[in-house]
Amino acid sequence: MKKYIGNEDPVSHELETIEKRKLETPEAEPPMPTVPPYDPPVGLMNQFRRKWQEAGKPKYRNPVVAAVLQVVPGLGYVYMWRMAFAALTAFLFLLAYVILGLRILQYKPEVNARLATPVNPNPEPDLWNWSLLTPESITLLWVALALLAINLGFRTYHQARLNNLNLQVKSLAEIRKARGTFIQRVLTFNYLALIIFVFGILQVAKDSDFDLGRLISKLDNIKRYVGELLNPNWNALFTEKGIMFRARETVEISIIGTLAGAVVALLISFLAARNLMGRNPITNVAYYIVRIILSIQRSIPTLFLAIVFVVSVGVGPFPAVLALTIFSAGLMTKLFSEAIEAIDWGQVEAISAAGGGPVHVVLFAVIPQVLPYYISHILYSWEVNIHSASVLGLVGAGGIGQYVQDAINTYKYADIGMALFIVIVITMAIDFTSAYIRAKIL
Amino acid sequence: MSSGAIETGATQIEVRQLSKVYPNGLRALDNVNVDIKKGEFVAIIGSSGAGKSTFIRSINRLVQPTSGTIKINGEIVTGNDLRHLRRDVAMIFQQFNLVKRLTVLRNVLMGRLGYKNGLGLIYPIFNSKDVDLALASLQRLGIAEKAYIRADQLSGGQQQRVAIARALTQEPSIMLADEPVASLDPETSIVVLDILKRINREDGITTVVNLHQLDLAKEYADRVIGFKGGKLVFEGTPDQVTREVYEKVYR
Repeated sequence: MKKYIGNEDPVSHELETIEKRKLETPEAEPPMPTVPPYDPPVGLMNQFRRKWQEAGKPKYRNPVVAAVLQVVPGLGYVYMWRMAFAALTAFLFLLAYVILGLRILQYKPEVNARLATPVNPNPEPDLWNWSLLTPESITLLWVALALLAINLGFRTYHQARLNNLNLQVKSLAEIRKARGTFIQRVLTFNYLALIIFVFGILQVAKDSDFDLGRLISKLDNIKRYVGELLNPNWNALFTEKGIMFRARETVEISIIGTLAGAVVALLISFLAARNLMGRNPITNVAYYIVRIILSIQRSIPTLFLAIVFVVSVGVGPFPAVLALTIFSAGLMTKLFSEAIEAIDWGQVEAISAAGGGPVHVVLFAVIPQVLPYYISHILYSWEVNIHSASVLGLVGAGGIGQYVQDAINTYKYADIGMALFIVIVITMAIDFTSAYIRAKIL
Repeated sequence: MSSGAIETGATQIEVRQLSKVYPNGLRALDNVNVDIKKGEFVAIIGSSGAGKSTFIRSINRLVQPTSGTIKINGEIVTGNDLRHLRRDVAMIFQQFNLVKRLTVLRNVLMGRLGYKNGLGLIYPIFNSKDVDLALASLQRLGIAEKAYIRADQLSGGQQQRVAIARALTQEPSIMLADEPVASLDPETSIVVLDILKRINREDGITTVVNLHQLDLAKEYADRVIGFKGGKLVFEGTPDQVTREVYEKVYR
């Protein structure tokens, strides 16, 4: 490498001047930072706080009293506030549970018997079936809305004040003051979120028949059936169209479904990758069309698809294969296209800079980069499909679900237990195998 | 190839009033006029963000310029038929941009993609002539024995040599190099630039190189071009690069 001589080299010249400057100016002591004096704000809570702090000083002879009075301020008023809010939340949950609990106590198992009794001339008011249109409800609603409007006003005002504080550096005392007094902070609490949350939970619990009483009253049934399931019938394994036959069918359905889905997904995934399609207006339109179709497809449950195919092509493993193909094609297209979107774009640039066309780019820059991810995603989707394939038989689409369906209809719970055991063994085996292979290739 | 018709010393790349404004409003190139002669070794200097990369990438249209024209071998470059332009204008990159999961030979064969037509556009088959050419390029760069090793197993300098071999296999008349030594150590940088210089001398391939290091630019280039803020601020021989020029380009 050529060396620079003297003034010609700008960099070393600059370094020299810097060195010189360093020698000339002695290092001055940096001034000590000034700490603003502590200026505690005046307020009810602050008075209490000061009392607690003073209480911590060792003027108490009794060690227990001193310890308590030292620990309480030691927790810090910030934590006190957090604890207060946590306690409030806990109380509201407790309230919700008490209401639910009352409902549990009200539960009467003899529904049919009650339906037979004549209608009560003076019915108790049903708190659960409240209506928004009764005069009481409307009054409450207006009151609530008014309170929320006032609350919103306070919150906006408070937020504006806090935002204003950011504009200029203030003293610690002013920043504290901007937080507001205790009452101001109570008024600025966001009640709307809390109210919606609590009422939402109550409504959801009601609509989903959340009822522990019913569970408890049916415990005997649960014990009996689980007992039968845990005592499997080993003789049902190798009969004609028995469990092993159906289990093999399930595995075969999942394999064919996954492979067919992978072929479809391999073709579509390039259209669903934004980095490949987003550069040109025409391909961009294709990208959005494919994305919309995919999101519609993903929102159809596999069981619905299976029902549709059972009705249209008939009972057997074939409708299950079709349903799984469509389901796993959607799943894999999403995974594949995300893998494509994560590629190193430099390699694409290099291929096109060498004169390669769009197909060349896909063949030599995209596929080599995404191939290990493809294999991994195909295995993952096989895992998902074996789960689905064991359920699809319940609607008549072959596999072990078909066996379970037949056994339920004939009350052979011991056979169901056996089938369940086999399903668990197969699924675990496939999960472990696929996880092992995926760890090897990635 | 059309480049054969042009004599050494004739203008091969003619850039007129080239401007590029990125969608975020950044003006990367501002009314740039440059002539580059056949067989010249041109180094482009400038600080980061001065528009060096944008300039080099707009020559082979990896970047679409906003306005202005570029004439290569007397023909105005348009967005049509980019494949013919690009197989004649090879490019090497800072990050080498090899397809890491393919072998070295396969990577070098990528340089022949620009010559594939018809069914070759769907699935290119590399014949023995292509393979011979690729192996000859590797032989020339002294890494022929690595031909069947995967590209990600090579060191940085070796990867950049594979990238140069890929560019050579295109049989180009112009070689663009976008910061070819920025991710290499000083020793390897000199090896890579020596190779580029040798190819420039022996094959008469016009070479345009983006460089950060001023000393390397002064040592290797026939001509130095300085960019600052998207504008061309210096153009001259390496001897004319003085302290004032340095101040003008980098400050």
